[in-house]
Amino acid sequence: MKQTLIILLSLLLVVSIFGCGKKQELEPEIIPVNIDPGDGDGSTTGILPGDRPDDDVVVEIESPDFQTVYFDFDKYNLRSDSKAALRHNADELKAFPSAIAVIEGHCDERGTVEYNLALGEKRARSARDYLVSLGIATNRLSIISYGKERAVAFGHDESAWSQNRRAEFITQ
Amino acid sequence: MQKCRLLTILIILLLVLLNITSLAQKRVDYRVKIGTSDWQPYKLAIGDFKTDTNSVAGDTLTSMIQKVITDDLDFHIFFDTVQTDQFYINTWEVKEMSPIIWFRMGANYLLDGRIKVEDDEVSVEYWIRELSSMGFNDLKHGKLKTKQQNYRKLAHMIADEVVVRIAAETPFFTTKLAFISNVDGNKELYLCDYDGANIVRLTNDKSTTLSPCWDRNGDKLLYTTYKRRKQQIWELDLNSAKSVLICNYPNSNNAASISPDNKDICVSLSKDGNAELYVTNRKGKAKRRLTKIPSIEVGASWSPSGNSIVFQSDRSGVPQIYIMDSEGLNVQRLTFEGRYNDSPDYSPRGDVIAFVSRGSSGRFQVCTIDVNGMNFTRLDQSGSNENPHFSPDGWHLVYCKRVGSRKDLYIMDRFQKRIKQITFSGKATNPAWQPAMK
Repeated sequence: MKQTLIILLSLLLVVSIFGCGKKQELEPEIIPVNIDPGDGDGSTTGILPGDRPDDDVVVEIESPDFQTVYFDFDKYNLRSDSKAALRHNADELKAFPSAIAVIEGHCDERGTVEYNLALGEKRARSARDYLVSLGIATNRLSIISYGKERAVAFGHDESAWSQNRRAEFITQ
Repeated sequence: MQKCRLLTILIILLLVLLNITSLAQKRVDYRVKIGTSDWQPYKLAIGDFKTDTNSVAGDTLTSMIQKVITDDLDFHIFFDTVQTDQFYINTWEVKEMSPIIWFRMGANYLLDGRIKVEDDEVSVEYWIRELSSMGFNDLKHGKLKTKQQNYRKLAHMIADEVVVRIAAETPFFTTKLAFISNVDGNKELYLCDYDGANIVRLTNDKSTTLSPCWDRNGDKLLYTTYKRRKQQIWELDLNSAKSVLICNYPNSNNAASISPDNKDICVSLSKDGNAELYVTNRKGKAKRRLTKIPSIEVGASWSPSGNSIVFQSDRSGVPQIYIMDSEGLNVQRLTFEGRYNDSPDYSPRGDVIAFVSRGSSGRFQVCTIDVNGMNFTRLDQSGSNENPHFSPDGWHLVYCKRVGSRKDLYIMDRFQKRIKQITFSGKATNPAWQPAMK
């Protein structure tokens, strides 16, 4: 019973991947890279997120417990505490060999939207490069910057700003 | 005899032509002196518009139209509106305001009007007059008619005509602003009149939308969005309300700027490692790479000629404003004052760059600098400001100001520095001023 379901689901996944591929071609002038998260993975676990049928098949997966990495104002170099957090995240990724992480770069509210988007990306990239130097495969890590658009602390002082200058790890 | 008549006609024609050009010349000379100590704005009187309907609705509409026109011209850098002088009225027992009375009260120009309200329509007949001690000379006599609910547009069109006839400048009172607001919880793209009226939401992506940039014809908008869970640049057609994907390179696709010939986009892409500037065509296909340096290069803005591009870079260690030609050569640093200069916009006049500079208080001030790096000028030092953007005439600016936790849009002029708040939600950012309609 369980096995047939997994096979069925895998088939569904293949179909969905092909389907998505075709849709991407229809869009004008797309350079087909970085397909939406959720489209390319899943084959390792055989579970389709959000597509789980309503019967008694329940598969519980433990996910890595990541730490957030913090930065100084207008900087993207790694502090010693940031490196410690990244070593922890590397260990987590090693403990969950199938896990894929998105590293989100964020900034405090100072400076403009566009510059902070670029700065957030530099932060995500610093974090990724350090993880790669610790032996994590590049294809398990993707980066995205939200600049100052997704703050976690809403004050206008250093205590809020220091919490917002961060690289967050999200399991894909 | 025949020849003689022809010659006379020719001479008359020549005289008329000379007269026209000398008049135009006079106005241009007057305008060029802006910013110098002997420069004076045009002294304009706005007459008390008459209405021939004796209804409350008619009176209300008349005063609303007059208010929109007065607010427009009161804000405009080239105009000072002349108020009625009560002392003069009492002393001379003035019963009715006439052009000569306005002239004696200090006005050189007069806008007068008559309003007619019929069913659901309103029409305005108006006169733009040049005043002198001898009387007046009509520069324009016109009539406009519209549905009552469009009265603001009608009023803006009359104010635009005043700018054209008296100051011979590019009018902007009927242009729009694109901006970002999160009043509904997500950052979406919005549109409003230049004065903040008639706010309309344009996107419903339920994601994060940023950095709008106008097509030079004013009917399309480029913007950055995360609606596909990736940073991409899309283009919204305001006529069809359809969006198409433009830039979808690996990693970031950030801060697009459309070239003056409307054919290219300068955009910051990090597909080759870190944020660098590229020129793409309007479909997003990369044509050339402009920068190649490990620092952040972003926030491009084209000169009106299309020959140079101003941008920001932190290659010196902190963000500063740089300029280069549109092939990416001859890079020069423009700003040396201030530790953090950000968010440049090239004036459509081609004379200055607007940007924000971080002051000693840590807050960002609206500044301009000449394109040769001279005359670092601070225009607005209150609150903390970002994303300054020029009006189509290059004499005015819109920007986002944060006061406490509230972010709203403000407009100002470059010399009289009259600052006006135009949104009041506390959640408006990232303005971009629509180019003038051709």
